[in-house]
Amino acid sequence: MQIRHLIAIIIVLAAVLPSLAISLVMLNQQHRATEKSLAHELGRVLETMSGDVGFKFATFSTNYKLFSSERLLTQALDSFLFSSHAYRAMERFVEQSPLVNSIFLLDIDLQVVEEFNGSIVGLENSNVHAQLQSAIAQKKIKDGRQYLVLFEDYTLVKGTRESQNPIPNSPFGVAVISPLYLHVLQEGLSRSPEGYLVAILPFQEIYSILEPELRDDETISLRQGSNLLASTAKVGVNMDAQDLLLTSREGQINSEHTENAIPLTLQMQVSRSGRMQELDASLNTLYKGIAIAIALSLLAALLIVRWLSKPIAMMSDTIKRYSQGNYQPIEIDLKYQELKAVSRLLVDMGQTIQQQFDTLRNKNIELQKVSELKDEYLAKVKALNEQLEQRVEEKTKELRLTLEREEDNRQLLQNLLRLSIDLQACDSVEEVVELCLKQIPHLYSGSPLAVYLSQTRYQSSSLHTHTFDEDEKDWLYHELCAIEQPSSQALPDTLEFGVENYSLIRLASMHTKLLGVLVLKSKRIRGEQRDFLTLFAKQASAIIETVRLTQELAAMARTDGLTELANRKAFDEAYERERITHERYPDRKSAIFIIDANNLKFINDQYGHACGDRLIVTVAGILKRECRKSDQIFRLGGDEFAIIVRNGGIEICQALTDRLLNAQKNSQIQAVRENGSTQILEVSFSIGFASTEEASIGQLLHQADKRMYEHKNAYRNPTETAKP
Amino acid sequence: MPVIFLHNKRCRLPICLFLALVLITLPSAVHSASIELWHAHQARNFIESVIEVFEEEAGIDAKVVAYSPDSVKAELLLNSGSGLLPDVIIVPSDFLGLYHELRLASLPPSWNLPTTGKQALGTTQINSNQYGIPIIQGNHLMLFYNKRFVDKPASTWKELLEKKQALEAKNISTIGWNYGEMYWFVSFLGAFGGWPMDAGKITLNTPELVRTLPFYQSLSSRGLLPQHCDYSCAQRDFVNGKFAYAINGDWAYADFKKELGQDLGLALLPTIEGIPMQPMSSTYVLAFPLLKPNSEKYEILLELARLFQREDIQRQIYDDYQLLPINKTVYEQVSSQASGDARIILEQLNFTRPMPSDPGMSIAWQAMSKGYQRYMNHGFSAEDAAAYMQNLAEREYERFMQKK
Repeated sequence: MQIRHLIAIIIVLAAVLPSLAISLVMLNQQHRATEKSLAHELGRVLETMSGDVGFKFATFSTNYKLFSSERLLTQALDSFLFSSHAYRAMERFVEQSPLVNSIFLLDIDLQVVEEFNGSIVGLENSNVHAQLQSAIAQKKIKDGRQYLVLFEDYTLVKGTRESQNPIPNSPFGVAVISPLYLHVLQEGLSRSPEGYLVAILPFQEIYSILEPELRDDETISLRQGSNLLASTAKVGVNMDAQDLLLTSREGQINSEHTENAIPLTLQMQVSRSGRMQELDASLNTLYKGIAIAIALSLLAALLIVRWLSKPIAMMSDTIKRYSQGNYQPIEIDLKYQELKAVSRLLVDMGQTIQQQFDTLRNKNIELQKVSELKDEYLAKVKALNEQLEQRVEEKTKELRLTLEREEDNRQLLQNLLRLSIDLQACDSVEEVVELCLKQIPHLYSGSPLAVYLSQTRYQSSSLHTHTFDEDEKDWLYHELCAIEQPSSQALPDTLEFGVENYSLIRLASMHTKLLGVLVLKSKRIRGEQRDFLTLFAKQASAIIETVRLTQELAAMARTDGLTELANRKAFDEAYERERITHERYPDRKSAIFIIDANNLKFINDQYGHACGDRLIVTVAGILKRECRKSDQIFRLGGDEFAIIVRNGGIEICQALTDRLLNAQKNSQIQAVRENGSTQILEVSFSIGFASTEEASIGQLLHQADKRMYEHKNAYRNPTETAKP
Repeated sequence: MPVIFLHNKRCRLPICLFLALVLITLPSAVHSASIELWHAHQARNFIESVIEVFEEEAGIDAKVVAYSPDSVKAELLLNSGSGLLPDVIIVPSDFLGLYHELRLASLPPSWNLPTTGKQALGTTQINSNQYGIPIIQGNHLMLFYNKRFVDKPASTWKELLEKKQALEAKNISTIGWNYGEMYWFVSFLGAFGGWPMDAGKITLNTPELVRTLPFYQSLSSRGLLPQHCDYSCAQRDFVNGKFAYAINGDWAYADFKKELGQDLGLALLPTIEGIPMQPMSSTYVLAFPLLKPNSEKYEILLELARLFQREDIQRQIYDDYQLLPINKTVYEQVSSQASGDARIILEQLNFTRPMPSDPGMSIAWQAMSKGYQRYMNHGFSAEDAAAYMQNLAEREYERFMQKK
């Protein structure tokens, strides 16, 4: 513990403790006075309430007596025509009487003549009616004095039973009965009443007088002896027993005009804490005074403590500064001699320590410089290292990319070689195209491929692809056809369609004739990859060219050069196929026509072979024109032609014969003689056919040939008639 | 003391002037008479204006006392007992039934002007004796409405109930009238085919009255109007805009017009499922308690009676207060020229039924009121209430007649 803290505690205790003790004594005395005041206050409130009730009832009773003497009431008893007048008077009386809830005017037979705000049924059913009869019989109602009855039927007053008085078997208020007299006689003479007034005073109305004196949580109850008659609070709702205060006052309901009195005890239940709130206000003032006094004592004590302990605190600060390395002497007034001596000692010690610190500081500065030089050298070395590492890394990356590209190329070349081998096995252009379409996209990262084939003697140009859409395909085909035109420029490397890019690789023959184009839908392919594809294209070109040449040779071997019809070799092969087919499907009908041009030898001899060739070509033209597409036409040699008719029943054959004979009627050729003159020659041929409908397949040729000669003979000898 | 004054020259002249004035006015003061008139008509201005004319023409002082309609009958009866009745009263014609109690004089036919309508005269005659002089007729209930809240007036009670919610949304009650007063209740009874008297007999215990009571009660229980609505609902509160509609008599028209101006609307009473309501109509009459043929005031009161019947006065009453005249000529002119509100007042009159002037009517009013209270407030059934009314009325009527 610090000395100054100890001093502070002692001084504060010395200042506060006496004040506190005095305050407690004063508070105790004040509390007793407050309790006494509370008891006095409750007594006063209860007395006021009791007085209020007594005064209000006395006022009512006096007014009631005056009202009972109103002539119009007895007139209403006497004449029915006055009853409404009495009603209005009763209405005014109830409105001006705070305690009264309702009022009844009864005739001498106790029948209700008029009422205001009351319940006739309630009155007739209540004990009031019975008690009134009893009181009349016992002559308790006399001399104009009022008679009081506690009524026990809640229906006399509007509202539920619970709202009026929740206490079981208890009355609900007081009925005040006043007799009505027709004549006012001298004092002492007896009179008989003409009727009665019954005023109903419910406890609720009495509460309305008392309640302004009560707080929210306080209740007032009416008792007769120990019996609870009525209470403003619901039964069973209890206040905290510790907080409850009960005060009672004996009294009775009566006045100078009443014949009897109803004893009632007024009991008030109050909340101690609630009532104490006002009284506590005075205590609060005392509390505040005490608090201010203690606070002032405390303040004075603190000022003294501050004055006394200031030098000690300064000395403490000086020591703390020294301990933190601050040895600068400060001029302070320490007041006490002992503290001043300690201060001087500290100053001397501080100077010595300061000198030692200065020496150490200089050495430190030198070491700092050496350290900085070392750091600078190390930084340079580090930068050089980083530069070297970066260059090594770049070179390594470059090498890796080269290796990867080489590996890709090698792989591509290998695949293309494999593809080339497959290419060798292709027997048709279609196979070559199919192989390209299937394999090349795999080698070029799935890029779609199209193969364009140029027009040949036997085939028109075509574009093959699996993956191009129709618009794209139309555009590409159109572009490539245009490029193929003789007037067009050389084949470009690429084409563009929208955002797409297409690389073109030429397929060319050994004589650089364009055979077709490989179209790879891809961004520009690298040089080496394009070279590989070009190399592959050359191999594919060679294969395509070879296949086409082979096909052309085979076609030439089976074609007649003059008429471009199939020749004898082709007929033999076709006839053999037809025979095999017929043997397999005997129900299929086949037929063979043999046609022989008439007068060929004569024309050759007279007009030369050129004219004879024109005859042959004209006959071939008629055959091509008149035959169906399914029919196969052959030139067997010289002037002889054959037709293989599929589904050739006799009827079909006869129809073809008719068409052919009809066609030849108007067919002519122009012949030129050696002297230059010209002559028109009729074209004519002889026809014979045979159908499997009438002969076996093996006999067809023979049968047809025979019929042709019969027809020819008929041509030569017109007198003979022969059918083809 | 006069001698001393006469010797004082400064006082001589005023004293002489005073004595001269006394001598001049003394003969007329001796011979002049004054009359006292009591009434409870709401449009009291019309009575006071006629009395002013009377005072000017006849040179007679007239004291007019206006009673509350609620208490005038009792006041008259009370004062009758003590002999303190006025010279003339203006009351509804049914009061004439109490001619004995009110000590009303029987009047000779010469008191009637020939222009007075026969029907109006009929309301003043009991047992072939005439006890009053009719001065206005009608006094029937009408439907008034405030055009600020109502565009087109309801023609049925169902329509009124349908409009209730919309009016309440504007913090306006639908309709007000003197709910507990039997003069209003009888209008509903008429719609159900009932009537308190028939051929001089009290007819309250009837199926019609039994049917009327629950319907009448339902109007308040369904919130169309507060059950404790009194005359102020139909008068002050309606004028102040608290109610959109009011049922009140034609006597209130002039006051309403003055207060509401163009906002006042007038319509026929709503029908009950198509059946028109049947309010009572009556005349207001001059009646003369304690009148003796040879008395000093006889001629004066005769002059007053004729003045009220005179054509120019009748026309003035209609023009200024829209109260229907009993003068045949004026009534016919009014009927033929009526338009707007006047036409509606006359149309409603066609749906009325004259109020009986029989002595039993006063008893019937009281009995109905008591039975009605028991039905509304004391748990009586409609059948019990109707039976109670009838029994009470018959018993009291018997007592009443015995006293005569």
